[in-house]
Amino acid sequence: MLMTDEESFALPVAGGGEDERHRALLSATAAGDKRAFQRLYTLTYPAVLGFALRLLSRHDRAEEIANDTMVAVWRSAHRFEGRSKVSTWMFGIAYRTAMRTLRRERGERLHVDLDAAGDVRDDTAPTATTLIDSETVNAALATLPSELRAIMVMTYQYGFSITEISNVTDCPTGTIKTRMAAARRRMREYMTKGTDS
Amino acid sequence: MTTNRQHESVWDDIPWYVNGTLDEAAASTVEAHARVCPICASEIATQRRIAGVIEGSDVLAASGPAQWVDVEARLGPGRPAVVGIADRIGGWFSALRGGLAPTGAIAALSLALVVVVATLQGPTVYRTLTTEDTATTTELRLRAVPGSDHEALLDDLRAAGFVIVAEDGPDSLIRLSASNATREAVEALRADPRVALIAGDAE
Repeated sequence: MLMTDEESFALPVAGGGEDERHRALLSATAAGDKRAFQRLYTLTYPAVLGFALRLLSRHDRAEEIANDTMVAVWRSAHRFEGRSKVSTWMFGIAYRTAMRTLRRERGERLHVDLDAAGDVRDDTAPTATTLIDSETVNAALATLPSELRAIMVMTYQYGFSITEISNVTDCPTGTIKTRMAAARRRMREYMTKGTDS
Repeated sequence: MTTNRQHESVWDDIPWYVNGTLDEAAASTVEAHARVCPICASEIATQRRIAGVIEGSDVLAASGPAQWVDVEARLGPGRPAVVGIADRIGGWFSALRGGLAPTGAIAALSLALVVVVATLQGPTVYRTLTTEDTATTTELRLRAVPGSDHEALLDDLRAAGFVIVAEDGPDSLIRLSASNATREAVEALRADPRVALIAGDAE
């Protein structure tokens, strides 16, 4: 039996003790301990896969990204410098792997008009008429470019702070805020349009 | 009195106010501004609802055990992630290959050295690998090993006091309520060889 720990579904950011455990396992992994790596895999793979699935939508491609991420963790465990949570570091690997894949396969580029993002602050569309149910929100999320969707998912699904998202994406916090504002505006537009139709 | 600059700053911070990761000072600023700014107050409510949906969305695909086989195959047979002393010794001897001594003798000597080094290092024990089991679980999700007797597993789960909340036939995710099950039953379930993966929410 490979995965019998109840934490195998746990989010990677739940509690400080969990990061300590991840660090111990990553340290052992860096020394070549495959059992420790398997344990780390068991604890973190579901979250990494879930994140990849949010970015790529297709399950088979998400599994490839998650697998590539875990192999990269095994190979580069000794490079972890301890300046962030292990989960943040792993999400960074997954994020970069997913973005490389998307750009290579789809030629996807970030289509965010950063100048227009300022307009979002004046966007006072009446939220009372905005349709906020599971189906609409997830559909709106799916319409976002991957870079924007990643920030929305890291914030709301995984509870990452601005600084952690900045570390994962290797972008300044100002850029993260601008992208998040753009994501919010696009989702609002999608959901409001859904209500109107 | 709020300024436009403050409004913009608060507006940008709202998602991280909603997810609870803003520092105390920034969170206080958001709250103070929201008391006098209906636009931001409304946006906080909207983002909370969106966050609730995204957080609760089940994009889980429990393919971990199957994918481990693929990942493990790519790791190599016990190859360390960093160059250890055994590799370094092997590297020194590799420089001699084809030169001063017969290849077989060098390989045998390298192997012997590796065994000695490995023996001297001894087994590595990590205390963090021990199971911490202090929480009780009320809801569990599991996947059975493919090919196992699905109905028999369900019967055994019911007999052990679990309530089947949802399942959709063989190989589906099975949701259980463990409210009436004993801790021993949960432990037994974790060790059940028919269970490929199990997870749950701790109280």
